[in-house]
Amino acid sequence: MPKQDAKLLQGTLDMLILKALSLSPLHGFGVGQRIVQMSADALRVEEGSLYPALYRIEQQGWINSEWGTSENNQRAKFYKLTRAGRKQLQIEEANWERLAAAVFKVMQTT
Amino acid sequence: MYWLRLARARLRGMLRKSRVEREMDEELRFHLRMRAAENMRRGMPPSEAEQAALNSFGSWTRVKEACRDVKGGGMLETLAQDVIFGLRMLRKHPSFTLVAVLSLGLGIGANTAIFSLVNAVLLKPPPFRDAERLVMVWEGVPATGISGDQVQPATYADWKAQNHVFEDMAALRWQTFNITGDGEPEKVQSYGVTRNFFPLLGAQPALGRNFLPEEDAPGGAKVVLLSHGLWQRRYGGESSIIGRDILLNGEKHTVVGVMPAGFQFLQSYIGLWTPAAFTPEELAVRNSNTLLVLALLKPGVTHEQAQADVGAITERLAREYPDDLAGLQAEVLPIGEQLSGPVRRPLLLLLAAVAFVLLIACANVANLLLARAASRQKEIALRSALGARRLRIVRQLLTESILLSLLGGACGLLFAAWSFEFVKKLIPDSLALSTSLRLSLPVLGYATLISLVTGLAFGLAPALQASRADLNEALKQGGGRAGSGAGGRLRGALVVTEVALSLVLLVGAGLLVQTLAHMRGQYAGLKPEQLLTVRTVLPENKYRPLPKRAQFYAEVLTRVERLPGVVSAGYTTSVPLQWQGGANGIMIEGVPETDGPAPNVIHRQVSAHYLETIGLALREGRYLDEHDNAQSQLVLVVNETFARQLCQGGSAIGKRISFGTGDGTDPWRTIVGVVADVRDMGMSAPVKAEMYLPYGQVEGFHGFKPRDLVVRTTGDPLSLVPGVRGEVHAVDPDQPLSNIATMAQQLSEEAGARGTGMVLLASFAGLALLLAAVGIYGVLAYFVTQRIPEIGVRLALGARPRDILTLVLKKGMGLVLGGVAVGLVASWVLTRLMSNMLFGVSPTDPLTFLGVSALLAAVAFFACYVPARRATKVDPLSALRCE
Repeated sequence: MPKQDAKLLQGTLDMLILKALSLSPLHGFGVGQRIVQMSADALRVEEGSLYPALYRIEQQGWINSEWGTSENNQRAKFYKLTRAGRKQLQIEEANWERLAAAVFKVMQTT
Repeated sequence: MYWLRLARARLRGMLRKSRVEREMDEELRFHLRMRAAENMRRGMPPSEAEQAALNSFGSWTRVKEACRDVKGGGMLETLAQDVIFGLRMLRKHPSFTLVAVLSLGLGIGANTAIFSLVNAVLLKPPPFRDAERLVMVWEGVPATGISGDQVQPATYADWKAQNHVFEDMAALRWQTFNITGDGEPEKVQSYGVTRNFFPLLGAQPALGRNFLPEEDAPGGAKVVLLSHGLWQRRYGGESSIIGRDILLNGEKHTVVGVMPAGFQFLQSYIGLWTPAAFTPEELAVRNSNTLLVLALLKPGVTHEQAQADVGAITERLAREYPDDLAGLQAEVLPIGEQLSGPVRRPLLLLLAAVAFVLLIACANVANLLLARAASRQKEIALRSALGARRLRIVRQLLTESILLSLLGGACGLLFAAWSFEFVKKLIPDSLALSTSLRLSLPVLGYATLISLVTGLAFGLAPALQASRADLNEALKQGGGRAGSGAGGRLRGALVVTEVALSLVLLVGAGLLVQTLAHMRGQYAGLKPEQLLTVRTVLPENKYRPLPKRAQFYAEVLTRVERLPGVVSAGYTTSVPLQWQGGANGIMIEGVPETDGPAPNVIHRQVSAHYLETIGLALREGRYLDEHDNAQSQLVLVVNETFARQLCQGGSAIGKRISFGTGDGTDPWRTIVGVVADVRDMGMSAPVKAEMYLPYGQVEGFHGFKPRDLVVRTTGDPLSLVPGVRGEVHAVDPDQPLSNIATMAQQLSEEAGARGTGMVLLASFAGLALLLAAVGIYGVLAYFVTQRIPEIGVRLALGARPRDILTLVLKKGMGLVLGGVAVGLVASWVLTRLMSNMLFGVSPTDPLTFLGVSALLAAVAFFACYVPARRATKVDPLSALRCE
């Protein structure tokens, strides 16, 4: 597990969380799990980064949270994308594509 | 929106810390359980699964800390921490906190009190609707030094008809009424006003109505509007007063309205208003300055344009009527300046003085903080060693000083509120009813602002100084001695500043004290504490014929003089300082008429023994007596200024003068005596030429007929008041008495605002001196504490206590004398600014400068001596062991 992934770019983690939540509301553990799944086990988010990021994004108003019941019948806090969050995700996706393409180009040139 | 949400979230984070914390805990625990379950699903035994979950989590506290940083509101939370820590520090050093909070409280309190005054009097617009467009228009004749004179009715009429700058003009004339028929007879002051007067001010009666157009016309119904004060006092605030008839000078007037509480225009004691109802003849009068003129500028017209326009009209009039109006000019004065102009400078002076006091308080607290910062050096070094950044430490220290200044501010608000009762004496009479001193929003805002600024001002230098500490040095050293280099210099500079500032204040106060003493000293010859003055204004309709008047005066004087304890009694137009008007043009026999205006002489009609009674010394010739009556030769007595200015070197005795133009309409009158000058027009106003005429020899000039009764007594004048009242009422039961006071009281009142200002300035100066002394003491005490080992060594090596004493005193007095030198130079420059508040003393009076310096040096010496003396008591052995 490449350690630097989680700290790669703060913005990146935020984007991944938004992406993970864009499919359905999740609790914190679920967010981490889904990022692992979506990256086919390539990325793992540390708890020490995940929760501060969730709180930060919540304060930005991109997600909101409420207490609910988890799949194994436990009380858990679920996060849900807001309308502003959906818009933010689009912006970040577009930015990411530009950045990735640019980085890719740089790395191609030998 | 985002900020709002953030603030709310963080606030919740702070306020409901426990709930947020619980939720966070629960969420993270849920995560742990899920991770453990996951691990078990992968085949780990339960105990291992949990441990692995915990391990993967990393440091539990670190995660929570990181979350809290986001959630709990970083800034706000550290602020809360700083505040709590700061409060703990303040509580741990109660004497330091007490001294600092008290110093700051006095400084901030003085500033708040004076600011509330400045705010109420200078900053707030006058309480009228279009205050910035309202002006008063006065007459002036610069050639004879007359300024701000009342307006001749014809001039007013011409201005009103010819100007292009005013929306409207209103005129007021002064009048005095005796109210009779419904209880104790009472004299009230009043204005006869044109109907547009109240609308111009935007004022409306609280009860009833304004005058009708037909009431403000010659022959109109006699009506009256009452002031709120008179209505409450005399008519018990009953609304049934509307429509009732009251007797004013024996004539029925119908009350049509009552003005609201707090309404006043110029004098606060005006009791009622009647319609002026000018006749065309009245408005054609020249040569009689009787009107006050109020005008409303058209929108967009500046004061300068108005001055130019009315000035041009007036110059045209002066050319048209050279006999009556030679040299006449108009003076347009914005209403704000009219009402508060005279107190502007004293108030600004006081504002500067309290700013000085606050600066001294700041320097003092900064000094205390510096001394304390030195002893906290170790704590601070430890904190930075543990990873606190410099900014964080500065912030912590600044939070502490702002806490101090806010506590000081709260304390200051108490002082300010408590001082209002005294400070309000500085509100000019023209704003007395409409202005009150309160802890209003602007005042509270100001107090908060200066508290914060103060906290930064005295906190910043010590905070920076302390946080710069060299880690190694600080930790290595014993503690107390760090930072004595730069910190010591800064402390020294602060003491010099404190001493200099307090010297400036002391000099200012000293000059004002002398001014006041000098002013009052001018009237010492009158022996004012044994003079009773009583005003009896005789109603025009009842006492117009001279014999009736003469009989009243003679009877009252005879009866009063028979009272036990009375030395003598006299009547005059006005006792000194009570009337600045009453001048007349005269011509002197043998002095050719010049082109300019005739010499203007203050005119007083007096009874036979008035001059002896009031105590004006005879310089030449004789006093007036009973033989100077309607049948005898026409005579007068003049003052020294008259003799000097108008008699061209020769003796005044035997010279003849006449009112009018010498065409025989007024007879010649012979000067028979010269008496001492007295400052009649004001305690610091120049003496004008004056003449005293026997009232029995003057026909006409009804405005000048005697009204003030003066009684010279052997004991306390006020004990004679019932007796005098009884005698006056024995002569005329309907005659009201007013302005009952001793001459000494009248002098105090005249000195009034200046006296209050002086007391305030003197107390501020005293406060400054005290603070400076505390400051000097603090610095030297600290100096001694730091030098204990050194002193110990010196003593051990054979230095005598005297040498130690000298060492410390030299250090302290060096700073003090430096401060005195700086302060003397600063005073020399600054006191010029107050030169027009001074009287009889030069702004650079060497005696004041010397005396005040000596006083300051003496107090400072005492403040130095206490710690110096302690230094000599150092026990060499224990001092060395300390090291």
